[in-house]
Amino acid sequence: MIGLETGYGNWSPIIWLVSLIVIAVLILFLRSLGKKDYKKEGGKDEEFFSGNEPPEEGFRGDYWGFFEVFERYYKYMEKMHSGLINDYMLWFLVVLALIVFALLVRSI
Amino acid sequence: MYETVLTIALVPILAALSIVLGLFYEGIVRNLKAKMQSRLGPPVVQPFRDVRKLLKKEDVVPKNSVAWLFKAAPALALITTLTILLFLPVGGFDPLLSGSGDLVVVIYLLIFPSLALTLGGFSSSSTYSTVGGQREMVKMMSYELPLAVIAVSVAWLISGVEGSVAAFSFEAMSENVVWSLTGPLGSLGLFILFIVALTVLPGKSASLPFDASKAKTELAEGVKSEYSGRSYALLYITDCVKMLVFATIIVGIFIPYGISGFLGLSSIAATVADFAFYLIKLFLVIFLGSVFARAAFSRLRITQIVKFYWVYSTGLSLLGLGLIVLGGYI
Repeated sequence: MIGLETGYGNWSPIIWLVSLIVIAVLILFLRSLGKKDYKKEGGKDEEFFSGNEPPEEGFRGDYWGFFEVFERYYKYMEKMHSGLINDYMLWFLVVLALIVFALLVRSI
Repeated sequence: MYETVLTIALVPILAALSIVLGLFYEGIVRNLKAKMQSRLGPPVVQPFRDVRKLLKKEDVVPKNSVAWLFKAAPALALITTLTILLFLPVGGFDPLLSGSGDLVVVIYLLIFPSLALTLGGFSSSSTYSTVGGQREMVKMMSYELPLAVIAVSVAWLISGVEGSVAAFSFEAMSENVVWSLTGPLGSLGLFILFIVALTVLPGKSASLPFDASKAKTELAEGVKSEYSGRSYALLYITDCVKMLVFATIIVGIFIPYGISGFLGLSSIAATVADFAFYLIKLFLVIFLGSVFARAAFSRLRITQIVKFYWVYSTGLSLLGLGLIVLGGYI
């Protein structure tokens, strides 16, 4: 078997991928049975906005939602990213020390 | 070689059967839910009619959307959902791709449909869909933890069986029924885990009370609000198949019993009896986890859903794990 065998479980990505392709053919066939085109008049392709005019700037930006919800998190993270190499080296050393500590504890 | 070709040939058959079963069970769920609320309800074949009608409708793509991603997401969600079934013991048989993936793989693969749905929502450029997409992701992160605890608990039990290998595999779960591996205390722990698994079922299939990501009256279907026609049909089928997938996981872990041995049947009669018994078990799980929940509870807010899964479900699952471990030492 081409894949991962841990002793407790197994995983063969090749077989999964082949099956995925076979199922994709079936689903794309099912999809092809549906109506393909649509008439563009009457603002059908406008985004739904509860009957109101959508904002001029639109809702563009795939990460708009993330920024909105994780605003506090991003602000906090921005503070950490000072752009100073010394700060980054310090973070690196701290993480390295933690990993070494964890390995030492495990080996005892 | 012959075996591999036969397996690959069976893949589309299993996929087609799963779609039919998913829609059929959705029909039962809707009908029963209506009966429980003193309504007449739609006929059992209504989901099939819905899909047929949706296929005849226009598939509108929002003008500001990322069109290729918007169109690809529903197909991707359904395809990845169907691949999960290949690793599950559908119909009381061993998984079709037996030995090529286990419960851990299944838990990972369960992320794909939600991710595809979220990407579709984000790519549609609608605020409703974006909010729905965020909620879908938050929900997904919430119920992963209790699910992982269930998997670890069951594997821990099975790994204790002498000569047992691949503790996470569904074949091992079928050969070593978890209830027979522990005493009364452990069984209580397993029962708690079974209840927790039932609470994850409506979350996975995005049905009440955990349907905040589509919230019809609030978000106008959320991630699906911009979808129509054949794309919506694929999303509709995905939800139905997801319910089937997760119910099969619960059956595979907690109720992997067959009935043919009990009835003394063999050959084709045994296969038919075991398949019929699987359908009954599936109905039981779906009734407890989906119909009852849909009929009895109203929609929870997304913060309540997170609290429910992270605090109550995870807490209960850890209690279940604790009881199982304790039961192993007493």
